[in-house]
Amino acid sequence: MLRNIIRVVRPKMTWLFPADENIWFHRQVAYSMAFWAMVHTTAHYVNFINVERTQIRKQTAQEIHYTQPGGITGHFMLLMMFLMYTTAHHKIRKQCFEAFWYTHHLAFFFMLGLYTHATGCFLEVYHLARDNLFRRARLQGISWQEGNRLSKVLFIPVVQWSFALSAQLKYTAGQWLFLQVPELSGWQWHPFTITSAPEDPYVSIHIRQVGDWTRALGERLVPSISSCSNDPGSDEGAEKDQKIGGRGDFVELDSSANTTPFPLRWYRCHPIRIDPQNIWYRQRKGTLGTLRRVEFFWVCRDAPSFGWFQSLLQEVEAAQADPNFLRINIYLTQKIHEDMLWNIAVNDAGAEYDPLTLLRSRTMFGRPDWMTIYGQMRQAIEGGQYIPGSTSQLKTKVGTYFCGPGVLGNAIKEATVANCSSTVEFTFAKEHF
Amino acid sequence: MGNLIWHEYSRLTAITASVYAVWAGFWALFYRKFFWDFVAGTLRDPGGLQPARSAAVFVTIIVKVPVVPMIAMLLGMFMIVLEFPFPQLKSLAIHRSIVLRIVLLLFQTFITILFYQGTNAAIWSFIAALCYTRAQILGESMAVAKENRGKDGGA
Repeated sequence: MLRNIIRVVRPKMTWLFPADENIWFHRQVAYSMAFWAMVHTTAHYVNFINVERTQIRKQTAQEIHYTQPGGITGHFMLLMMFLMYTTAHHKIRKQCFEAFWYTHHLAFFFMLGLYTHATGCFLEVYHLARDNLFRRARLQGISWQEGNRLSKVLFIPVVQWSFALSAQLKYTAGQWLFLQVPELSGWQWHPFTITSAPEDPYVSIHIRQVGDWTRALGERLVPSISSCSNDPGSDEGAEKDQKIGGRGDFVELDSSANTTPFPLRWYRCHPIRIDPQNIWYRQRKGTLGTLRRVEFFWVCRDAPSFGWFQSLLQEVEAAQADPNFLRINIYLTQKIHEDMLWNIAVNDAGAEYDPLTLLRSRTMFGRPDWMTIYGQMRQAIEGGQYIPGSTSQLKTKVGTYFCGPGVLGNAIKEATVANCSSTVEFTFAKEHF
Repeated sequence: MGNLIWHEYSRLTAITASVYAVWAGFWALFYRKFFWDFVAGTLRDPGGLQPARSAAVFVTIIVKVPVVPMIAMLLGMFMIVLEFPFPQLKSLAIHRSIVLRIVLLLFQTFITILFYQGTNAAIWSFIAALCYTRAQILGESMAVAKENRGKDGGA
């Protein structure tokens, strides 16, 4: 996966191959390679035994298989494919990404095997060109910049980290960056979606502390936080968030610019999704294009999980002149305690803001029924109520940009496919890491 | 490092190796050749390698009557059925036995290395057996199938 090349190629070549779904495409290529490797190998096992029997070349089948470059490289390539394919299974990738990641670098030796497999074959020119591209992309991929300063840390114990890199970084909404902390590991690059908008004066990412790398990063940040002075604005933030989480565990800190505890390296990646903050900026600039309405769905398990996003959503919601342009739908899927239920019932009735999120939009409880949501949206569009002024002669396109677990993605995709009609087209795009 | 569950990884390697074993055994029915025939064998032109007289028993069970490839195919199919697992096998305790898998995979290694087409299957089966051995050393245990939970004496 040459991410930097994909970033350049993607907007221009999508008509030729599915560059938007490049990981999917990568897998399809792999399946086809496995199939043709099987055909090729089977054919050679037949062909070498015939060479031996007819003695058209004075060799035994074993000599061709295990002493000649073609045979040796072939067997090694098969072994490498065996290791690469088995470790690339989604179960293994989730359990131990390193096992997949490092094993997949056998691709380099696989390519070496491929050049020497058919010595003198014209394909070499193509392969050499491709390998050259590969290596250059990899080297350029590490065109990291050092010396970025950590300027802001949003601290929620064990849940999320956000820090801003005060660097001049050009990016568009929804791009992600790869982060490397040499102190933790000189090899690991971790992808994170950039959560700030290009217009923001800082770059921020949110890191959930779920794995050993992110936890180690968290541990390294803790001493720097304790040594930092408290930002005067943070008390206000803490108070606000106390209401959301029900616990006082939300602390926002500003460190002075030169207290970076360790160097960070990063590089950019390609965009995939629309995020509300970016829409807000575009709305202000009037560069929305044909975008008419935005429905923002956020499904999360418990209230503290959306703590870090709350202030942003609140800002965006408050800035809406047209109440119908952006609709925020928040779903809480956690089982609710009786105490909490009463608390909500008491506070919610007649209040202008939702007691949990402090947004004007009401929080919904339970899992969203996507079929119904999309079905209703289609009906509303067809009936002309959803987008005023749209007529049935025009085809309305509703794009869904999804970021989250695969099972949820499948359910949403099913709903988008099922609800397509002659006048309304639903598309689905998923963020892949 | 992430936490690799070795028996889950081994399962994937065992399935791949067993599929190869079945495929190799299938082709060995048509193109019969004892892999180790080059040891003290003579090369005839035309005719290919003629195994030494001491290897007559292998010639009988691989070339004259392809028993070994057939065993490899059956064993491979059983491994696939055991690993996927086949619904009927789910209720049995052997479905969760790592030791049984190690033994079967080592046997598969031995069987497939005897005939010409089976060498890759042998190497892969050996790797799968090593992975299962690692799982066994780490003391991993396979989860009881959902439908059997709470049953007495079952799997």
